[in-house]
Amino acid sequence: MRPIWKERPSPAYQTIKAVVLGGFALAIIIPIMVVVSTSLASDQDIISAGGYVLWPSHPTVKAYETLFSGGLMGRAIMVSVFVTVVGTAIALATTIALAYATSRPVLFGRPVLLLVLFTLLFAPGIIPMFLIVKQLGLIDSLWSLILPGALGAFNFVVMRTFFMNVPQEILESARIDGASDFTILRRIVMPLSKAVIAVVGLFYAVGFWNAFFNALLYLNDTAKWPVQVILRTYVLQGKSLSADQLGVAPPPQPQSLQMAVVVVALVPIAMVYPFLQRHFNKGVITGAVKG
Amino acid sequence: MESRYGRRRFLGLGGAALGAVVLGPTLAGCGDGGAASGGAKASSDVALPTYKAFEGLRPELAGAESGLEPGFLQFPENAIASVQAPPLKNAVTALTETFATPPPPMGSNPMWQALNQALGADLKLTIGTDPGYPEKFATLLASDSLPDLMWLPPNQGIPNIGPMLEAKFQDLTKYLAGDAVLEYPNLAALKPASWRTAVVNGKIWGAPIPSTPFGQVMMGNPKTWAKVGGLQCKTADEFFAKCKELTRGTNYALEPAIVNMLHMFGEWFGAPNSWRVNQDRSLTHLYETDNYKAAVEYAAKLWAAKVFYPDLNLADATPKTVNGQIAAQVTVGPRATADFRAADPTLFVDTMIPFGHDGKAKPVYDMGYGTVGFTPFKKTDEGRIRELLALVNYLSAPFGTKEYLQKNFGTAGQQYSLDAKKNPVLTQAGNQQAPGLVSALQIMTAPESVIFNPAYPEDTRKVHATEQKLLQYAMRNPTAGTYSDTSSKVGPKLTEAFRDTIIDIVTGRQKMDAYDEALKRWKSGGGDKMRGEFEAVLPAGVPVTAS
Amino acid sequence: MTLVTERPDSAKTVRETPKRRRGRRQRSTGQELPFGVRLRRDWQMLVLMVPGVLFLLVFFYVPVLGNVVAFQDFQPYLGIMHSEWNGVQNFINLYANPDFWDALRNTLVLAFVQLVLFFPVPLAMALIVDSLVSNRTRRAFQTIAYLPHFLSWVLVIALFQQSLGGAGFVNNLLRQAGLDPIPFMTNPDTFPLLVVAQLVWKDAGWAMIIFLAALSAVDVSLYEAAAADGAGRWRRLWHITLPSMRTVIVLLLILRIGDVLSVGFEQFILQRDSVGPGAAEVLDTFTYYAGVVGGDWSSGAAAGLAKGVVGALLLWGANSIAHRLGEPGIFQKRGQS
Repeated sequence: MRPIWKERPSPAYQTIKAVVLGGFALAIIIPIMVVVSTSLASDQDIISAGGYVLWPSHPTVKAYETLFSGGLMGRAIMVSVFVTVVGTAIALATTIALAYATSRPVLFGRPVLLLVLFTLLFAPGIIPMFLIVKQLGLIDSLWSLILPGALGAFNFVVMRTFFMNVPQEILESARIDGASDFTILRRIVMPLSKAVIAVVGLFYAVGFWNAFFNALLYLNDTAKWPVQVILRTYVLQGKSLSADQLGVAPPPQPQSLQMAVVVVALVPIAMVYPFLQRHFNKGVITGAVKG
Repeated sequence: MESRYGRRRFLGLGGAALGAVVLGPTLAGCGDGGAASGGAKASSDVALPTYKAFEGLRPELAGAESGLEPGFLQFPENAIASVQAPPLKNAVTALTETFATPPPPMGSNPMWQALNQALGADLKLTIGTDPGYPEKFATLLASDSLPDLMWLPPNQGIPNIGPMLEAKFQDLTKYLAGDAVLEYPNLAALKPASWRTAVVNGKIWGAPIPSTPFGQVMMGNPKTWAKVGGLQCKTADEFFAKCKELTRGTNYALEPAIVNMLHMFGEWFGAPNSWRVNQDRSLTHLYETDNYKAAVEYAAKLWAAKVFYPDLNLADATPKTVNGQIAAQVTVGPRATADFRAADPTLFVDTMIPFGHDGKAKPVYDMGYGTVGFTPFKKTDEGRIRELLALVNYLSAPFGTKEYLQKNFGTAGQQYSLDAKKNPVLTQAGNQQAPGLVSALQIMTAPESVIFNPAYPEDTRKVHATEQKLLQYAMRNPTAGTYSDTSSKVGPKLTEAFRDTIIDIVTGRQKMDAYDEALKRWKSGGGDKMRGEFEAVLPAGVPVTAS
Repeated sequence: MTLVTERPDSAKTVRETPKRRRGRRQRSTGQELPFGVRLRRDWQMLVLMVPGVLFLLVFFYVPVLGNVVAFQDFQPYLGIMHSEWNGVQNFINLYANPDFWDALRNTLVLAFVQLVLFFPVPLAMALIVDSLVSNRTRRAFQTIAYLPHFLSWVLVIALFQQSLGGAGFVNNLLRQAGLDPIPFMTNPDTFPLLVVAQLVWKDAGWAMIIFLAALSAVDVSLYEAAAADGAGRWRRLWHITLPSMRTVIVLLLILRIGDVLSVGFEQFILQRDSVGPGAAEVLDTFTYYAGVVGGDWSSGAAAGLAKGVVGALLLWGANSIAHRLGEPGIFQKRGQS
């Protein structure tokens, strides 16, 4: 519904909007369609198209069958879902707590803030990181994928900025009413910050879902590999070393396999987004405050 | 292109000639002398393990000392046991890399479990992937919790191999040098040329991992080349003309892997395999020769004629060669014909035999590295060393043995069955369990290579014949098996920088004058030092390069 | 009741909250209270900090000390304890290496182009999307726009190659029409534009999300009031929307500037060969070739430290400018009022 105060846009402005958004959407939809189509394409389709396929004339799910035949992919999805869900929960909790605590002028607030900001600039080396993870006994444990990602400086800064924008008057009056800091966070700040919590949660979830390098280093047991490692090895893999000795029937075209993995890696996270989207709708804050 | 790292790095391992190996940047190590070639001065003194060929198998097509690989038209009917007792009493851990899809883990991989049973204890593999292997190797090394075995790749940027081996790994000379190796017959069946890879600082550090001794070759789809009278040429001008003719519409003559193509052109122009040995036993590097420079100019001419496929980022030319969009590409070894068969069962690609650029000069054919490195042991006591050697002995069992079958095909009736001609063929279960595991095992331990393509016995004959033709022009890198500190330290970086300039020149981004400038930088950056070090240890047996 | 009648500018609000209220809970005067009192007052806040700080110490500060290898000739097999110290030699080598300066120059050029050409795109897009009335169109567009973020660079570049590459869709059309192909993907001079185009395609939709979240926090009653006063679309945009988002925009800009030297690794390494290192070598790829490919961990660490120091200066500079302009920036000064 158009709010009463909003005037009807001029046709010219309307057209420009439509062209910009429509063009951008098309520029995305077509390539994504190519990805999906290629994953469903038959060998002839791919060979005749010379690589990627716009529309499969002989659709087949052979690539997906191959992908799931080894059991590797199914397990990997479970691992990724676990790491993403648990990781996002932990990271959100840590970030919210720290961002709130540093968003007010409290004891040690500034030094802690500087501690976080410093992490934006430098990166610990691969080797020292490995040694820590090993010292903590996390090698070959899924926690090695979760704990090192429990706080992101960028997400922290974004969250903290939003928290600081929560009107001071509300907090002060709550405090006068005798609310503790815990209560204020839970009852006032968090409900007012749904949008940013949704955004940061999404950022974390995507980060956990897409991470692969830690898994390569910290996990020796292939049963614990997440989807992204499989994606890498499929998308990047060359030919099997033993292919010439095996002389077996040809597997599906590498392109369809690769695109099938891409689709598999894309779908779960794509499904989460619509649930978060409603938090970006206008008026969340006023609604909460008014209520 | 990342997808290129995987394939190309592996191509490099497969034994590309030095100096002009592959486009992928991470491959540079294979360049000049190779990080893992072996041994300083002392290395020439060490007694290599006594060679004792495996008896009891007669290939249909005989191999030869020259590097010619024996060809088998079918798998020997009654596989012989090469190992008397299971080698292991205790579990063994190993770091290796797979170039296939990672295998199902041990717990749910019957083939792996069967192998463990045959070995007598669990073989626990930590399977690295590409990319990420050098990082994994370095972190494990720094963490001081080394696995028992660690595959040491020759070309993935692992520097200062000598001191590293001395610090962390077991000197195996005592157990392997001379006749001592005869206790492990499958290791004694590895050729001296392969063993040289595993010698560093005059000590033997592990069993080498042989691969095809052939280097890069150019391959073309015969259906495409039929239009211009076939792939084989007599002169560079003829090749040029054919390329121009084949480039029509969306079809192109050559894959855009410039460095690899340049390597092929270099052979036609008589450029040496990495180094040229002069009459006075001094060395001249490939980049310093007029032959190579001429090849660069020739490549630039071809580029200007637009016969290269115009997407430099092309990851894998194979599908395009199969469908005719690209006429020729570079692969490793004549046996790579099998890759094209896998994509199109009706296709047997042609292999270019090098020719003199003007029809008169003698071309060369650069042999490859011949191994994919070696696998050193963590420092340990004698009992354990013997146990690990027995394990490596088992895993290096030659083609045609029971152990080979177990390692590569699993158990009859489960992972493989015999086809009409009694060749083992993987079953569906085998196809899931085998490739990732076999790849990981093969990269850390392997017997001498053979030609075997059971589905197409005719191919085996043809490949064998091609190898003989290539061997007429074969040239080996004179510094192979010697060691230069500088090369190990800065070789990869120098090669990379020089190649960047060459690619700029060929693609017209820089003029030919940039060549000498880059060469100067290469020399002062360490090239001259490298030369000195290689000259000092140049084995007397290496002949003066014919030119 | 509407509590928020005016867009709160938090910095000012915090600083100017008068010291009027009684009680030890008051925070704006915190600096002057004795330690014990503050501890008693803030203990819950300190508890909230514990997990985060613990994380920082264990997974950042301890391992980041490993960067001392920048002052060593580090060898993995010797470890940090036994590798030889070589002072600032690694930095001297870096300074003397013309390739390093090329990489730095390329990085800065690309970062600047990205900042100018990429940064405004998601903002503009968010504003357009926010102005859409139909919820369905809005959601549909959002859902589509953020998808490419999940495709890896390998794939994104492959898709660009398919359409704009030398053998790609567009150039094949040009050839059929008898025209010369355009080297979109291989021309080093236009490479920065290509990079931005790829970035817009992949990440503009995703980057829009934060702006949309900020827009959702704008109080609708402000628009109502403004419209009632006769303010048109553009005036509302200028006087309400943009000021409300100023904090977030400035914040993201500062973060971006602090991170300017990380222009992206994969995107460049994948295209380095096709446009040549002259245009595509950036600090991150330079570090990769020195560190991982060359196995020279110390040089890698040295380049990383140098990068961090420059980043710190840029971050500090950008933040100071933001303060001058009355914006809170990443961290605001407070307690001096």
